[in-house]
This record gives sequence, structure tokens and C-alpha cells, in this order.
Amino acid sequence: MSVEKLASELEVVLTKRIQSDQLVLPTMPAVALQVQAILKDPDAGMKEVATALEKDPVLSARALRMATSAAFAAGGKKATLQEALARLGTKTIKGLLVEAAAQKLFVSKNPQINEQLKVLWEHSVAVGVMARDVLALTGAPESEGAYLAGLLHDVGKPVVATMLLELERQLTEVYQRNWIDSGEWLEVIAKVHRPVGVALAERWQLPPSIVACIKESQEYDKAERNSFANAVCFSNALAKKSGVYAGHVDAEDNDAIIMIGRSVIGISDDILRTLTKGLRERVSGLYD
Amino acid sequence: MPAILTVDDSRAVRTIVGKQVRELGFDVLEAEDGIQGLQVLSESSVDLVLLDVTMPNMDGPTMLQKMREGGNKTPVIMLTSESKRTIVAGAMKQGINDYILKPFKPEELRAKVLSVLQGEPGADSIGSDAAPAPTAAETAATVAPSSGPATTPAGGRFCDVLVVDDMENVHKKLRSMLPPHVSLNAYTSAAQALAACREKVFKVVLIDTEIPDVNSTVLAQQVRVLQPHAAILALSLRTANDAAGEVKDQGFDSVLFKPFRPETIDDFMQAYFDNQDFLQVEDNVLKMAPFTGKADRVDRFFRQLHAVYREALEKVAAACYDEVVLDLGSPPGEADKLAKFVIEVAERSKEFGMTLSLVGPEPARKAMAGFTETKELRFFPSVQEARAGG
Amino acid sequence: MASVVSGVTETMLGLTFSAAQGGQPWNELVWRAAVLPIPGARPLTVGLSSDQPGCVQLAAKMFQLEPGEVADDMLSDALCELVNMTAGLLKSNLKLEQALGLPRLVPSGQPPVPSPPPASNAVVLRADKVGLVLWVFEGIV
Repeated sequence: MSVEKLASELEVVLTKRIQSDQLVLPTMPAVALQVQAILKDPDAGMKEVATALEKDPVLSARALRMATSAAFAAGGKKATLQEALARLGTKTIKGLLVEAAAQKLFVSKNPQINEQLKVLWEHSVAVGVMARDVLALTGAPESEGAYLAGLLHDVGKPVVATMLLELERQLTEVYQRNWIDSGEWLEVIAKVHRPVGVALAERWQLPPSIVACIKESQEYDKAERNSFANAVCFSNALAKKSGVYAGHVDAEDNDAIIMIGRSVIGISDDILRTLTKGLRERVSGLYD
Repeated sequence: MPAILTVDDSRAVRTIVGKQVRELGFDVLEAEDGIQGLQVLSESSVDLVLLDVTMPNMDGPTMLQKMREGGNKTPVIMLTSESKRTIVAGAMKQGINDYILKPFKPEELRAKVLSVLQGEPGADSIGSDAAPAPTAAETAATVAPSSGPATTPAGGRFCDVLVVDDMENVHKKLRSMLPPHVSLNAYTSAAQALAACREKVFKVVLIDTEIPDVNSTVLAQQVRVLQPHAAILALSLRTANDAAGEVKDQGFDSVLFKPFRPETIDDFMQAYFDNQDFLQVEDNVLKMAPFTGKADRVDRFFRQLHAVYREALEKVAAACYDEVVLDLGSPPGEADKLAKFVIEVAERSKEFGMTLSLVGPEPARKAMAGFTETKELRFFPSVQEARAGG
Repeated sequence: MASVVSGVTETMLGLTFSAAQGGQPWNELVWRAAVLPIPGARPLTVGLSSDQPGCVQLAAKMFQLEPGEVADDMLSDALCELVNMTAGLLKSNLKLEQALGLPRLVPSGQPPVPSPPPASNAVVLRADKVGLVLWVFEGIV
């Protein structure tokens, strides 16, 4: 089956499932859901949040690590989880939960696919970091939120990857048919991941500004030049140009996105070079 | 004066662009559509085109295509409210150098005009920092297809120094004081100098600060656009004021004081021609650069020669010559240092199976005759005689 | 509507418009008007007008001149360019795949702005001392 045919058939199936609400999407981890619910409760305090978060040692460790990082540290005293959460604040904790939940999607038991997902995750981190920096450098408020937007712009990809893996298992076991290679695998995912990502983001009740980034990251919004979607579109192209990406890149198309983005967002070439310098080194090893 | 053509059906945009570009010191030509734009290009010398996309009669992409098909490689900045990537990608294939989305800030326009005229690499250099061996996908991503037409002055003719001074005597004096191997073009008017800047590549540009009817600061800005890699120096009378500081504030890199003195020319040479070939190779002749400096530069002069002579000899040996000629030119008066250098060259020549002959003025011959190791070397007054004698 | 106009004016003129409070009458701001048709499947007309001081302020900021240096044709050019760029952004916002028509001035001697039908969107916008009326008609006027 050709890549185009497989992608279009998969797209039909996915669209039908999304429309009929039959698409099985990964849920947030139970602890993350519980913490999110507590954060919405006006009567609850950080003590309750800490108690719930303690059940997930990885999430707790992340929160502590983030709270003691340079940006949040205040005096270097070792903080308790509750103190750490208070330092981070509600907004950052919510972001932390989403990031942790998203990263779990980028893990597969299949070693070959796991390797590809690792590169996808590094690409997502690169886009998140650059989207945040791009907006911060243009003086846009809320640039921190752009990190999560960039991080999640390809969140549909691991979901589609899992579906493809299941399809492959059925085809090879039941029909004894050969499967596509990893390059084609990435191409199929690239063609169909967006609606799945949007459905997932809506299921996770992510803000509309993040859903917009997942939905459309190929054209710029001229009316709101410093939007998350524009920062993500631009950063996505920069990450691809810097080689932090898995999959086929249409170099001419990508260069056009960068050239337009420089003017839409208002980024000088000097800043551009600073943004992308050593990008690969900065994001490698973040997949743990 | 560099000229910029703005092609836009909106008179308001042409007015805004014209004002900004004139403030940068450029001439402005206007066209309302692609047809008029092509007409202007066929009649005038234009250094940069600012091109709209959507226009009546002939749109921007069509005009661009016709320009390129006709061999016109003038740099183009697309200035448009069109942000569809397919349209911009198509224009990039035709070699646009940059893109500005309308509405635009005047400072973005000015920065991009100067950047394109100065031939800066733009976004192309992204991703060029060292990275591990790329995968196939990475290779595709890091290939920069968007290199526009070259903005280096055409012709590839290189010249060391351009001097713009309305007094011809200044040209003559400078020529007489610069070493012969330093090439110099001299002009009395700004127009001639700018025309030369479009044709050649200069290493250093000297601009008189008092040319009649010419604002030397503006001229320096224009030269910098056309000669982005040149050092631009003010030619100024020595005054009690802080002339060096003043000219730097006006955009010059430095100052060269008039009237010229040997030590200032020496400093000038050291500052801008330190990497000149101290030893030029032509067939089997190694020609030493003439020593023009003060006594305290002699050691530096010989250090440079010691550093480069081996490579020069290897070139001659590789061409299978049996004889190598060292033209001493106008060496410094320190005979011992010159002899030490010549002895080294002779020994190394022997290792390559070549015999060394010397060429130089009479004082140099006498100096070499005073040392045991060099007195036996054949010495000729000219390269022609050395070649004939060899 | 205010954000669409401001999308243009913030970048080019440094002016941020917001909707005028208290239902300010629009017919005081119609000294000169420019309209731009967007023909196609969903035909629209975008119009923009201001009073004389407003037009002078807009032109002076657009061309970076002192208000006293602004010529009459510049007032018209500025208004036409503003309506052109505003319509471009509006088209982008509404995701219309229709080409913009050319901006034109409402001929002098005619009612400067057709009375907005009840279904049309007209809004009075203000930034500093500049007042504008922006309106969008369904259909080509």
C-alpha cells in the first residue's frame, strides 16, 4: 500500500472515529487528573496538591527539580514538595502535569519506534523552547505559555504511531503482509496527526491557544502577529532547518516559512542565530 | 549613489518607502506595476528592488520571473501583504533576498534594505553550527536553497585601495608612498568612486572629509553598502581636535591623516595589509615584499618571511624547477637579519634539489658579499638577468 | 473590529484603536471615506472614514511628516492604504479565499457613507485624538 493511500485511508478512519467520539485517546495519568481537579477547587490548598502529587514519585521529583532550578530558587534552601509547589504556582504546576502526561505518550515498547519517538520528543522540546524564547524576545506577554504550545504541537504523532503499530501487528499476524519502513511510517504520521492531536488536546481540556497550535502550524496569523500559533509555526520551521526533526523536510517550503516568520513576528537575523545556536545539544538527552 | 526601485500599486506605500530609503542616502525610482518596473530596470541602474505581489497589469512574481529570465540578478525584497508560503517559496526559487510583510515598521524596512545591500547571509546561516553526522532528513533540512543572487560587486576584480579626494596631488602622493605591490584606484568625484564600487572589490576605501558638494558621511554609508567588507577610512587634515573619534562617530572605521608621513603610511600598511603576501611566487621567482616600515618593524618583517618561505619554495619545487630566484626587492638595511633569512632559504632550496640565485639592489649585493654563507650565491641586478643567467 | 484596525495601525502608525464608549455617533467622522470591495462567494465591502483632523493625523503618522506638511492627496492615499490593509487582515481573519478589490474614495458630493443597514457592522473607533469609523457591509456597495 502506498504512503498516500495508507495515509488517506487512515485519515478517513480517524475522522470518522473523532466525529463519532469513538477514537480511543490516552487519558491523563490518574494522579495528574486528580491534581488538576484539586487545583480547580478554590477551597483546596497546596497541601492537598502535594498529598495527591506524592503518589507519583516521578512527577514529584520533576516539581522539586523545577522549583529548585535557577528560575525559581530563592536562597538555595532545600524545599519540601509543598513549598516547591507554592513557589511554582498553579499555572506552572498545570503545565508540568501536561508536559509529564505528554511525554508518557512518546514512549513505546517497540525499540525501533521508541527511537523515533525520542527524536520526535526532542523536536517538540526544541520547538517549545524556541517558541517561548521567540515571544520573550519580542516582548510578548505570556511567553511561558508558548513553551507548552510548542511542546504539544505534535502530540497527535505518538497517538497515531501507536495506532499504526497496532495496525501493523494485525496485518503481519493475520494477513502475513509486509509493513512499511520507518521513513514511510513517519510520512504517514505527518499526514494524519493533526486532527488526532486536536481531539486529544480537547479531551485534556487544554486552552484554545494551544489547540490552535496543534491544528495549524503551517500558515501565519497576520492579525495576531505574536500569537502562540505563529511562534510555534516559526519555531517548528527553525527546528527543522537546524536538523532537530525526524521525517522528510521540504527545504524550500521550510525556508519560506522562516522567511515569512522573520517579518511576521519581527525577529532579526542576529537573534535568529542566537536562538538556534547549539539547539541540538540543548535538547539531546532530555528524553529520560 | 545606489538606487532602489519600489514597485507597488499603492502610492502611499511608494511614498513611505521612498522617504525611508532617501533617508538612508539612496536614490529612489518608482513603478506602479510589473510592466513599469521592468521598463525602469531596462533604463536605469538599480541596486535593489522592493517588490509588491498583488498589482494590476503585471504582478510581482511575474515581474520577478521576467527579470531573472532576462538575466537581471538585481537583489529583490518582497514587500507585500501576501503571507502564503507557497507564493513566497515560489519567489524564493526566483531568488528573492528577503521578505517584508505589510503593514511594516519603517525600521524593519531600513534594516532589511541595508542588510541585503551589504550581502548579509540572512536566515541561511541557521543550522550551520557544528552538529553530529546528519541523517538523511537532517541533510535535507540543512541544505540552504534560498541563496539569492550574489550581491558582491560584479566582475571579481580586486583592488587594494580606493581613494576619493578632489585633489589629484593627494592621489599621486599616496601612490608614491604606498609599496608598489599595493594596487590603488583614485577618483576625484563621488560619482566615479561609487561607479568603481559597483565594478570592483576594494580592501580599503579612503574618503576625503572635504570633497566639494559631497557629504562624506553619506558617501561613506553608500560605499559601505556596496563594499561591505572594505575598511572605510576618512582622509582628514591633522587637527588639534579628536579627529579619530569624530570620524568614527560619522561611521568611518578610522582616519588617515594628511599630509601623509612615512610612519602613518607604515601604520596604515600594518593595520590593513599585514596579511599581504610577504613573499609572492611567480614561476620560479620568490619576490619579497618591499620593506616600507620603521626600524622597529624589521623583526616583524623577517618573522613573516620566515613563516612563509617554506611553502613558497615547495610551490617552486613542485613545478620541477632546478633554479629558484629570490628577489630581495627593497630589503631593510639590517644585513645580518637579511643574511640569516637568505641562508635559510638557500639551505631549504638545496633540500629540494634547487640552487638559489639572488636579485636585488647594489647595497643588498654588498651586504650578502659580507657573509661567508651567502657570498658564493649568484647575485643579479634584475629578475630577467637572473633567469638568463640561470 | 478594533483589533483588526489596530493590527495595521499599531505596526505602521503606533496607534491602538478601541471601540468608542457610549454609542458615539458615527456621522461626525465622515469627512472623507474610502471603501474596498471584496467580491466573491461571500461579497463584502469594507469602509473606513474619519474627520478632517483625523485624516491629517493618520497621514502625518503614516508618512512621518508634520501635520502641516500633509498634502490633500496624502490624506486620500493614507485612508486608501489603511482600508486596503485592514481589509487584508479582515480577509485573513475570516479565512476568505477571495481577492481584494482596489480601494477607492467615496466621490465628493455624494453621501460619504451609505447609511449602515441594520445587518451591517459599523463601529466607531478611537485612538488618542483620532476617531475612525470602520464598517463592513455584506455585499458590494
